[in-house]
Amino acid sequence: MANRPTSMAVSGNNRSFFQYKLVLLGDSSVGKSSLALRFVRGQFQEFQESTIGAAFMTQSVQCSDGTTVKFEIWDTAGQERYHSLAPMYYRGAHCAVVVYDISDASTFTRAKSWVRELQRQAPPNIIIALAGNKLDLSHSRQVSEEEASAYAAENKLLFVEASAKTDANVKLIFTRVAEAIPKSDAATAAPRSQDTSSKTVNLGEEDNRRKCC
Amino acid sequence: MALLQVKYERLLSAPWSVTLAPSANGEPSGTGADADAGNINSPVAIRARLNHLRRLVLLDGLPRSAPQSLRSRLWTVLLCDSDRPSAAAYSALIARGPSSVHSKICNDAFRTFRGDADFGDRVPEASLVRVLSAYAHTVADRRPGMVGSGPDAFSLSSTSPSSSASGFSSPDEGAGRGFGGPARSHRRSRSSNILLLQSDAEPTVPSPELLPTALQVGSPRLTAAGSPRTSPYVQGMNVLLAPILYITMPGEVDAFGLYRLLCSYYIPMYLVPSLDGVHMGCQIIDECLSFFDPELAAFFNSKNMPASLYSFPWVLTLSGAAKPLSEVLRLWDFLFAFGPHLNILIIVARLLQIRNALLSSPSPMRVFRNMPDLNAGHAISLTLQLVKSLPPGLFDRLNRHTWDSSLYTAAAGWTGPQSTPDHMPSTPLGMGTSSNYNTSESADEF
Repeated sequence: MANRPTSMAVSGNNRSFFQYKLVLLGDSSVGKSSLALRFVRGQFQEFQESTIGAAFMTQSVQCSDGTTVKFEIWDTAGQERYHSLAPMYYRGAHCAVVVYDISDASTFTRAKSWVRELQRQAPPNIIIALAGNKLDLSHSRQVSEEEASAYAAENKLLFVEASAKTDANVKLIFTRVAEAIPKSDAATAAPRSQDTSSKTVNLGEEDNRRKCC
Repeated sequence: MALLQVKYERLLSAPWSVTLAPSANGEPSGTGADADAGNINSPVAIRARLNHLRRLVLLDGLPRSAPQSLRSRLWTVLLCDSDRPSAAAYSALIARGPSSVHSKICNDAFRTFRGDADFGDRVPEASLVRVLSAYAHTVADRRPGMVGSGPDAFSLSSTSPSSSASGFSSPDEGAGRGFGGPARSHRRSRSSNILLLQSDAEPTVPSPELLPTALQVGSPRLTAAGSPRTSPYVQGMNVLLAPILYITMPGEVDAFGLYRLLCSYYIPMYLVPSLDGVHMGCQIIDECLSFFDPELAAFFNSKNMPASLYSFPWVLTLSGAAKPLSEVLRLWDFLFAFGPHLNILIIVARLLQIRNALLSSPSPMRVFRNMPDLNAGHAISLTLQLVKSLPPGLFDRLNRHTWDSSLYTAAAGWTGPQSTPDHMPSTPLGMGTSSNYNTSESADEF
């Protein structure tokens, strides 16, 4: 990681480093792992192995306000059979990226059900991003950008179309999320009884929907 | 040909089929072992040969130069695959077309082990799809609560007409009767695998009719309501099949037989819809760590990292996704010789092997992402040490957790997989990867 803790003010009033738990959700083979690996390692594998249970990665992004956000990314298995494990991963999450495949309408339907579940079950202030992956397959698109975008706006989701394969907009998804998390509310973003996330203390008000990049 | 390979060849070429005819009431007549001591087809002789084979696997391993076809025969014997499906039966399953989980299977098949060029050359994606589909069909045929299977050719072979649905012990009885072999009780025979390691107790052989003349697909133990009904397909089952297909290719039918036996007989609790067995396997890992390495256990605890968080795929796939595949095959030689439940201890052994890296890492999850290559020999040696000193209660649960549904009741103390999330980190910082940035204010989380 680029940012070492030694030089970071991790407590006190001058916070410039934040750490958030991010969960990737979505139907099987929409490209959750591929997005994560592209973001974290800059790699893409055409035949990304299917995820069993969940995989874990970390990566940091710089925000336009000079802060650094480190994501603890939980990349979950997409198959319904693993659905019962999902709460284990979105519990306490600050943010979720719900992924669908723009060339497969059924995955968009599934994404919507993930959004509904998160709205019901996840921490109330969770930031949700909707990511339409496989933009490189736009010639066989089944989900229009307009439709997805309208749905996202309606549900107050961030929305990005991306391609893990071509690297289009992948980082944008995560920087949008990083910028969107209200740093001031970070401590309540994952309101948990044992939540002692004092590392994400109040830095003062910020525009929680400010776009970056 | 290496001498060791000759030993294997000779052992595997020996008859594995009990020739004693069952008596009229279906009870094996050959249990009077002493009388058959001189008969190479007697249960005693077969049992001795199986033990010999197991010891050979343990002490020498299969020669690295041995062809995979030899390994395929080895696994068939070790798993006591007496119900090898016929090509016709397999073809009939395939002819049924896509199963209810076809798209899920296809979604995973094309990317299974594709990072391994050798595997890719050897195992076509279509073979993976076909075998996974065939198994999915057989599961679909087994409706919950039914004795036996569906209406087609895969119904019970009727060797055990009195198998009842009265509980999970019935197939044990049924299997004992059905094969005329020494396996009076599967529960006993499974336990015996591990007892071989813990004591000198002699294992029984489940069903040594390895080359049935009658083409009996489906058997009491595979299809009776007594064994837990697995999912037709869940992500990870492709990884269970992949090494099997790798060694049996081009024998797809053999792969199907081994895979079906593994899933439905040896590790069904891992593959039930709730994946209960995997959760319990993870709990057992936690308990083993507490027992063998309290410091490491406390470390994971302090980071809110139960085993379910990091070892779930290793448990479900019997470490099948470890690299390299050649070592996975050697590991599975061992697991099939002494019981797949031992994979739990293999995982514990691997954790102990990297304990220093884990303990000194501010981000243990990152250590897991860069696990050293599997060295089957090392992991097995350590496992053998661990198994000897395991407390009896834990040992018993380890032994049974892959297949015995009676462990998964409230009476047995099972609170279900939902208990796991309660132990999950609930703070964003509790994931144990961020102690780089930790300060005293929240040190307790790490």
